[in-house]
Amino acid sequence: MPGAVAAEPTIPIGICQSTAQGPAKFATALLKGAQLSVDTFNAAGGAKGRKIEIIPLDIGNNDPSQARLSFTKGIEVDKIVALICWGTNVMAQNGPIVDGAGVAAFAMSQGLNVPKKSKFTQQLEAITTMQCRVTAKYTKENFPNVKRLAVLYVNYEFGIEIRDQCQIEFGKVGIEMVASEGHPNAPTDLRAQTTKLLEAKPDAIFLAPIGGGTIPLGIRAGRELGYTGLYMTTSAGDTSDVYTFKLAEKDFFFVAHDIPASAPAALKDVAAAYGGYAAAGYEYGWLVGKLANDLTAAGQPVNGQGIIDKIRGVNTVETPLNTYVFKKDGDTVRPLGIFGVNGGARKLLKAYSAKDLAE
Amino acid sequence: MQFVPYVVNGIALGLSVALIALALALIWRTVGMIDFGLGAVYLAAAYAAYFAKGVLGLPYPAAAVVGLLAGPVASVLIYLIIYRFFLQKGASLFVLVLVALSVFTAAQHGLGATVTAQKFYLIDDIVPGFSFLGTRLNIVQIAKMLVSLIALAGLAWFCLSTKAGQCVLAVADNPSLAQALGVDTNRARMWTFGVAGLIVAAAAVPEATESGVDPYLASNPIFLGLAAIIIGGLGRFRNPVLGGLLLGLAFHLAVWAFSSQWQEVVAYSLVLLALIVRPQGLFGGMSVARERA
Repeated sequence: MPGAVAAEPTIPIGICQSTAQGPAKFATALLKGAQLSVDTFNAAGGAKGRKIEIIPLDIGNNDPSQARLSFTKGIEVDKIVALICWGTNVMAQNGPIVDGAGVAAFAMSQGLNVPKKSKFTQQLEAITTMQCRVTAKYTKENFPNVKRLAVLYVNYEFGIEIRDQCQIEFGKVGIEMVASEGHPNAPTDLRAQTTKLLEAKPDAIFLAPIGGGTIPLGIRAGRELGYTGLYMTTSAGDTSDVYTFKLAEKDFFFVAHDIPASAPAALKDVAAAYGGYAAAGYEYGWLVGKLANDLTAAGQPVNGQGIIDKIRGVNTVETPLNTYVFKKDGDTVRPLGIFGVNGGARKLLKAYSAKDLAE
Repeated sequence: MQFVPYVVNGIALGLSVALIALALALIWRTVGMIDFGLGAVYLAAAYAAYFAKGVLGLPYPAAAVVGLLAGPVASVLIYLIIYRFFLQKGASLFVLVLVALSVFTAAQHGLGATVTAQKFYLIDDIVPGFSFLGTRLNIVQIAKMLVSLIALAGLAWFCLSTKAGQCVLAVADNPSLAQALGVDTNRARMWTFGVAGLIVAAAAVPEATESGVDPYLASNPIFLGLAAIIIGGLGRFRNPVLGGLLLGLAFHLAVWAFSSQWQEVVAYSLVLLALIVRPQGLFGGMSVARERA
């Protein structure tokens, strides 16, 4: 059209979406949170006129094959330069695709193997390592009588890694893992496993499912079988079905992301409606926006290689919400909070800074 | 190590599996298809109960009744809208299995796409119960066991003492002869799917009460139910019930003897063993594996 000015190409970034129990909920929170920071970035003019465009990527029931299809489409058709996703199986198996396309991948919910298997993958959080560490630290500080730990875990890479990492992290503070039992994803009955765990007479039980739905089931099984000790879990507990579960109000805590009072009001609203993962989505959008600005200002292309090099080069990044320490090996240390449940909402019990959690 | 709690909980699980096995056996004997679509019926009953309590705010007993009604309604509708077309065309067993699996899978993922895959709980507190032989049985477990026994007795009464039930039995024994004698096979099948739907709902509503609802709730019960009819055989309606009991015990005793990682290994090894040693089922009668071939 005569006189029309060609629009700047967008910066497409992928966000995984899932139909799996648990991830379905936090995927929505992640997307809503990212949309907030991306809208702010775009409204401010983007990176010299280039706006960020969010591309949802469907990974089905945390299915690596479905993820491969969606990643491939995102890379070849939408030309994504970054993506955020979760699932140890999904991310570890698709690492070569991410590396081959030079996409900066931000990983949620896994610990050791994912960054090892992909040079362009950086943790945004590492549940299996950091969340075991903060849980052990909080337990030692607040429940000195806890000496014996049992772990009830989802029986695949993610759960097995939590079991092993928790054994290490709790061992460091003098708490012995005395029993562990696995369960399938989305189990309907945990009585047999719980009966077996209780025979080891644990003082605390660490629940390590994929999503929030299994946590009430695990707590109920133990309480009905007469267990009166402590229950704890990862950020899988940061969902509304746990907030509203009456039995979770006593002798239970979970690890999650704190949203500071200084956070944008819109983000607090989204987090209240969809769960704490909204903050992680917000920070993902914010980080990509900041790095796109930095790269553009330096005259460098905004691509996956540039984003990963930049983030590992600056090491410590202050977002509007948190301080992140991005390590060169792909690991990341970030602040975490310990939360209880009260009156249908989560309640912050203690906040730990990145410095508190660095080894 | 305690033994009795695993036996008690195994029996409770087994009787719950037995309900699904009973419904699968009824449809197999009458219609000649392995109805994985009962998974969709299971979900319909569970979500209806949740919707009635969690969304409409009905008291639990009323919500349970809504769930129980949703089962037969969903089952008959699936028959009328989908299965009848294939049955009238004389579709092969493989086609019918594929159709039924498609119904179940579409329902499962349809719920995930429309309602979300999140789990919802009907009860957010300890379910009342009492100590029994070293473990604790809650009233939902007890209800599951009672319902299972009532369903078995009820099915026997329905088949032997009602005209509709006798029509169902006639079609089950010899469809062509029954039709020649004036039995309305379509009506008999509607009764079959309705009764099977009610039995499945009687399993789904207590399970949803105890474990909450999510789109994947029905997978285990349906596949365990199928395993139960393979293990137990189909000669009498009590056989799948016994098969279910064996499976429930295998599931819990595997944890007692080894660990929870061995649950499926032990249970499905039992299926393989039954198929090798007694393909007609451990308790005799017709074989699912060979009957229709």
